[in-house]
Amino acid sequence: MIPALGLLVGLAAGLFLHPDVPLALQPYLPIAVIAALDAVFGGVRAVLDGIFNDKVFVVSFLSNVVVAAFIVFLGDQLGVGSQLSTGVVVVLGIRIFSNVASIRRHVFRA
Amino acid sequence: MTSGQIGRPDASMTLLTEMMQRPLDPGYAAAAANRQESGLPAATGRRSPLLIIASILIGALLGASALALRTPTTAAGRIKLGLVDRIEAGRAHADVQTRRIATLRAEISSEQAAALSQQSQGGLTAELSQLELAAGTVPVTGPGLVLTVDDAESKAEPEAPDADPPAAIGPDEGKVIAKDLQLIVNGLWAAGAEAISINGQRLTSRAAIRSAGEAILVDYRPLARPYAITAIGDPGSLGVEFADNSGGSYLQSLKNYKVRTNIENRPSVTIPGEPALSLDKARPVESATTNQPGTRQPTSSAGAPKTASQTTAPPTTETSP
Repeated sequence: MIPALGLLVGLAAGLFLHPDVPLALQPYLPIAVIAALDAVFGGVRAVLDGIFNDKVFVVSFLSNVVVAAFIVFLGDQLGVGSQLSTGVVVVLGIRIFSNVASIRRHVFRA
Repeated sequence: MTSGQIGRPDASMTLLTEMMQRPLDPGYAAAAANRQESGLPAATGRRSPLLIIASILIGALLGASALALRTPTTAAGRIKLGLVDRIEAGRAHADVQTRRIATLRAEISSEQAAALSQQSQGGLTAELSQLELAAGTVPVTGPGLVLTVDDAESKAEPEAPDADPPAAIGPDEGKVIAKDLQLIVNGLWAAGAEAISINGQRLTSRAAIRSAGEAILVDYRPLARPYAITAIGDPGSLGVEFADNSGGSYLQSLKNYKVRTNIENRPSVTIPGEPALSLDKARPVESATTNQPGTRQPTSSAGAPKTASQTTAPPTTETSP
């Protein structure tokens, strides 16, 4: 419950404080969002599986974001930034969908 | 990790099976196993400050990126929508004003006719209609000719293989320019044309043929090719005299540049009036009895043959062979 409140507080802060994202970081934002969502759904699933661990959650979130941003950065340097972004989105998207499917099985038993 | 899967038929797709079968971070299971070994419950609490900070961070990331990635498109879209709105409003305004001009003009002419007939000055009415004809404010119908000028066909079309190389022309040399139309129109005026329009644009004494970059403007309105010059004049002499004078010979010389031309005599052509003619130089006269020179002065200087000298630029050798 408290983490969910924290998520809402952060969302409100991001929307209303309107922080200026530096232009150089903007290509990494979509990938960072996908990576963060993957970590969140993984964490929710771990909670429902009864094996949640806060340290693993935080570390997986940070490493997801950093690695995804690094892959996109590398792709930009190699001239295949958009292709690598697509690859990251596909991989993380598959993970998000299977985690959500597992959550759904826990919640609705279906 | 893969040692147990060596015998599997999908062994070459370990990455895919790994991803599909175990999407949850293995770290969770490992951490839970460690905690159970040391006698703790498998799951940690969900109230650690670390977790709360992380969730606030994720929320801020979502919000900030939503704003940062959404703003540019909406800003551009807003500007575009604003421009579209302004264009549509301007167009509607212009339509309303054009309709208003038409009704006001009809009102003016009926008032004029009524005033002139009250003063029983029938001669003035006739003179007025003749001047209106010359100034180009009213549509005209009569015998005349239609002269069509078009750019040379593009170079992509197959040419005769034995074409003389010096006769080969550059990509722009076969293009009709404003000066061509000026010289042809001046030739038509000289041949006795009474009214001329280009692509439906009436040539009044104040309509110039000029070029703006690649486009040809008549009375500041751009023309699209082909250029159809319609002239009304004496059917017996107009075509003949035009063929004899400088405009006709210039038209002939344009054929050297593969400019496509066509002259057609018509028993009846209609030339529209110029709707946006306004009075700049006319001044009300002091006494009503001496109004004839006063009213005639601005319009007579706007008579049709004057157009020739106004739209004429001195001939240059730019397009002559």
